[in-house]
Amino acid sequence: MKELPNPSPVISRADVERLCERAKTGDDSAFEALYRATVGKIYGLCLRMTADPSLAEDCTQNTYLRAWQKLAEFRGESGITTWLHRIAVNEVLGAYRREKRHRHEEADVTAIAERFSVDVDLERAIGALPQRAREVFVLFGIYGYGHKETASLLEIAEGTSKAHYHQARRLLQGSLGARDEQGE
Amino acid sequence: MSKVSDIDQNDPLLQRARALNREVLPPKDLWPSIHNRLTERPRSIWTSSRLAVAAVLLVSFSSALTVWLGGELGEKSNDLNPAYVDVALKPHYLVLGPQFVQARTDLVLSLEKQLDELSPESRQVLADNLENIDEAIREINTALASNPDSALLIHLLLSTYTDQLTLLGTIEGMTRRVNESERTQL
Repeated sequence: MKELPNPSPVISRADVERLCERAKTGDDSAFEALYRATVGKIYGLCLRMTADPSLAEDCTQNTYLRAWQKLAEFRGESGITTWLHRIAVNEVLGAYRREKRHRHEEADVTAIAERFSVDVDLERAIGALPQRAREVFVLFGIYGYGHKETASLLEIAEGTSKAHYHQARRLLQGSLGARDEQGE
Repeated sequence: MSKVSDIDQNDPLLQRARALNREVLPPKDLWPSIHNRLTERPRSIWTSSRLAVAAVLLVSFSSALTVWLGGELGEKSNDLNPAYVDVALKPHYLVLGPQFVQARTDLVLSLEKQLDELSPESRQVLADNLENIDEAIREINTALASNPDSALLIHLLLSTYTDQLTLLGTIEGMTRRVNESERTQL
């Protein structure tokens, strides 16, 4: 395992609130500061959900465009990252619906994972999961959302989220176990 | 985030997943592209607003003229035969209102800029269609100069202006869709 630096500048909740208020008045420099503080979390989520770097970039860009349009609706009840995550998940689901880019084949995320991840084997195995199982595992397993929140974000039933998680878990154990046995 | 009941804290796979870096920077800075798209949007809204203004003005103009013609000509004749139109009626009502002309001029100027973003073939077809309509308007106006009270010519002129605005609106919609499609593909 390797240690990687935190890529985004850390800003306080109070700073986020101030930046949001300024951005709501049309201050794009404040919005850029919000972007810089959060883009790592948003791109990371999009990349893991899609296992497609190009689509993840599209979804990230669209997330911030949508956020700019809906900024007046952000009241701060949830954190800015949670709010952006919800928009990002909608963008990913929308991109799938628009482009019918459902990917069931193993995505080539190895090269990307080597750049940013502390655990390339696990990243590769997650990238190879079926789409819905991957989305659930990313939200529940990596980003720490509960099944209720995960189900809400993905617009599925809570029981379906649990079923996909167990499928993902089973597939990952099989995949990682096989790699361990092969001495990778 | 996850409730304790949702997860098995002792699950080594889950612990391994939760240890992953949640933040991943994109390989290139996406902000310049996002910023460009943020600043592009108002222009599209402005154009649509102008189109709406022009359309409203045209409808108002058409309705007012229709009502006026109905009132004036209805008393003079039972049909639209120019022979029944009183020659004393002067075509002062054919002068388009300054607001309409300004909105239409602005729309045309905006469209000329947007046309540059279409393919040369599409641009040529649209330019030919617009030129045909302009030519028709010129011919109707010429005919009206010698026959200023012709109700048929007046209706024809109105109809041609409507066609022109419809075509301008169609082009505006096309170029906007092309732009949005290009942005989506970026």
